Amino acid sequence: MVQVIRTFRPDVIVTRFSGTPRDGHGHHQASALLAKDAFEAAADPARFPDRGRPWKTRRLLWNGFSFSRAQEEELAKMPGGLRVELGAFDPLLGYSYGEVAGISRSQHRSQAMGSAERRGSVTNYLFPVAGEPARRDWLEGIDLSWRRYPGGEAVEQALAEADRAFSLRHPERALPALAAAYDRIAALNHADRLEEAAEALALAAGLWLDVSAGAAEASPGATVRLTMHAVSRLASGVVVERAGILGMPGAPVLVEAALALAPNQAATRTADLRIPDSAAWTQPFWLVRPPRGTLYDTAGEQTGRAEGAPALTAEFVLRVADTRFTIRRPVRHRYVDAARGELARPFVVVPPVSTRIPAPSMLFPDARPRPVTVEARATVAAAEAVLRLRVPEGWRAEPSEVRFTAKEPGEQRAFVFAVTPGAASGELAVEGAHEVMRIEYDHIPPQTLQPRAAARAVRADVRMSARRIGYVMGAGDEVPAALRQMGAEVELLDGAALVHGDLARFDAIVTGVRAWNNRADLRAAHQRLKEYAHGGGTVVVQYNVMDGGPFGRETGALKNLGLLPVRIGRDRVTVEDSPVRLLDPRHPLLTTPNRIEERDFDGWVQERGLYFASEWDPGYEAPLEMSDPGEAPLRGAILAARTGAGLYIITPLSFFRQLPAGVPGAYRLFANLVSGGKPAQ
Amino acid sequence: MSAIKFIPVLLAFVLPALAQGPLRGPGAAELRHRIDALRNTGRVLMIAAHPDDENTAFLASCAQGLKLRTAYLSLTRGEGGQNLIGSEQGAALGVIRTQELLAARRIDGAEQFFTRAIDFGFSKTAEETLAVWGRKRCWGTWFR
Repeated sequence: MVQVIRTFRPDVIVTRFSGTPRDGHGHHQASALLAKDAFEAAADPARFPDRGRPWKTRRLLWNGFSFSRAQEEELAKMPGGLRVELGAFDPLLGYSYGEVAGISRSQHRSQAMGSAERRGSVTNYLFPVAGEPARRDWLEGIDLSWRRYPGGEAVEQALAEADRAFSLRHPERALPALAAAYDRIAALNHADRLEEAAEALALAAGLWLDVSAGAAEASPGATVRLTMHAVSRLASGVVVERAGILGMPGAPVLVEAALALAPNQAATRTADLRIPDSAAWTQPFWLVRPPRGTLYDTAGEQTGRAEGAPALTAEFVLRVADTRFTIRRPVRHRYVDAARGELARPFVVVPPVSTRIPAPSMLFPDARPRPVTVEARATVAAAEAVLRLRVPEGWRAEPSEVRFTAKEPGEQRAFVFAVTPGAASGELAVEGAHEVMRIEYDHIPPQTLQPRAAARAVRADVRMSARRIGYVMGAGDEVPAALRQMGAEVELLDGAALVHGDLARFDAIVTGVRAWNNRADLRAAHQRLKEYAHGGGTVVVQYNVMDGGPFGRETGALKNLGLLPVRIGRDRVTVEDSPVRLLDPRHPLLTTPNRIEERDFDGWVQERGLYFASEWDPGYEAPLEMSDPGEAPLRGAILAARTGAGLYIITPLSFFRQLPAGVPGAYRLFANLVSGGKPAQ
Repeated sequence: MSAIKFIPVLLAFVLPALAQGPLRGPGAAELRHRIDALRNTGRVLMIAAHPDDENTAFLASCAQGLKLRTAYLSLTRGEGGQNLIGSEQGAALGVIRTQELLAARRIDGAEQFFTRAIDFGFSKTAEETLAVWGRKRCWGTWFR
């Protein structure tokens, strides 16, 4: 935090939260408290002298945030608030900032933060917290021009000239003045504005600068064809003095002797890059080393950065008249997709062989050996790897090693190790290769991670009487794999199966996390699920997000979620080792087929559960009680309603986290729920 | 001397935020904005805890309207939340949320920073949060 403040050197810091319980989440409160500490520490030369020159931020403000209309009205009345207008229309964009805000916020798709684009005035308040006071304007007293720096007047004059020379039809007319501004900024040593000035020069000249790799990925030892394109689409007189590649030793130089760009004529160069054997694989810099507790273990110079440098960066040294400037572009694999047109992917370095254990956790329900599958896939031609399976102490794996060879990239093979469990649970890990994990979504660039291929090895006495299970996948979870580990056949149910499939053949039907929030076909089939339970089946409903949320907007999605009336609230049990009381230790769901004891709640991860029911019909049985320290006990961890010969269960317990993490007690309890408390045959 | 020392860090910081945003093509309107922004030397930093805590209307108004260098510092990468579009959890979810913040910044025009803190899941009080992250430790490592 201090380093970010000292390098970014803000005039004003604005916190989003107040540092009081009003903020809700403890992280929110902490962010405001830590911001105030860092605001002071960054200015103090005695603190962190190795982390940059001290920087005194002029003032610290709080941007009042409201969870509700009542809080919003309260903010408007609070004294000292500085009004800001956030809904102005921007003619250069064609959008107002309220619209930009909605489009920007809607990028948080993994949080379902799709937001409206607000049109018209949007009022916010900023409250002074520390530093110089402000009475009318939150920026008052701050010189926003280059005159604030000694010698800055010369920069301001050049930019004023660029402003005069610019024309909508002829932006290139600003080029000479922008070149002068670039030189003057360089002379003042304002290195952190030079890149902006260089990008302005590139825009004024209509420069297109690109280096494309012949493939999206390559392994150490492989050779990749690089193709450079440079076009000065508006201006004459632009010279490429040099073009090369950063980030890879031994990379070729694409332009060595000055290359004058004729207006709108594309210049092309190619060269081959051999990826050195020692080249690092491409992955997020904060995941290279294991974290230390709750902090990532990263090297100092990367601290604060959002992401690391690309695997390869093209560097162009350019000249306009006497001004020499540098432009950098990530090297990407540019290609044309027959359906979607021209696309580009970041170029990444991957290991020659990718391996994985398909199941995130492997259950050993008794002392007998079980097969463990390890998949290997070649990412390059002529790939080879010797793979071993490391097992916990006291465990055995046969064979001791296997050899994977492949002629062509993409070839894959599965190896089966016979693993005999020892007494205690632990980890299975593949030695000899890592997993190449790709994350692909439409709204973000593709990401490549290189984690160790590992799985939890769970030694627990787990019996389950359910054999065939229908699973209604919600937002996405790995529970079906865990059910298969427990010996069940799992079928994923689509809308058609829910509406007219034969449900009676299932011993249990389980709805995945947030399935009732997300799936209209499930909601439409609620009556069939109830009839299925009445006919002797077991229904298990995992957690769903409270309908409505902090801003109202009830959708009615959870109206029919329960067999009997139930209302899902916002209560959570966030402390993963908080005590659990067995209110009814003889309840079949706590005894059959597995006898649940307090130690089955040992070793849980992150939380116990989320979105507990706040109210429910007295017809539900509630055999468990738990709560965070100092809070009122919650009894909604398991709600079970009997109907006919069957059972309908609602549980906010976070099995979706515990099962992949290999928590033995969670397996035992989940097996009981899915078995409907019926004994194993 | 000390000014020179920090140049590599600053250049590296700036790169992602200068990528082209989708709301405005690389034409004359973009240059018009860049010239205005280059004339402004003011900077504002918003600080909060998670991806999605930032006020995007404030960031857009500062970066696009007032032409300030604008940044959002998120304490965490949001790895403790629930993934609503896929099955990635933990570190992989943090990678997705990092990229979602960068995608948001390409649109509103602000820059993006993080600390080293890991989102350990929902916490009800600042006391618990600070105890888990270790305030002293924050000063020693995380704050650096």
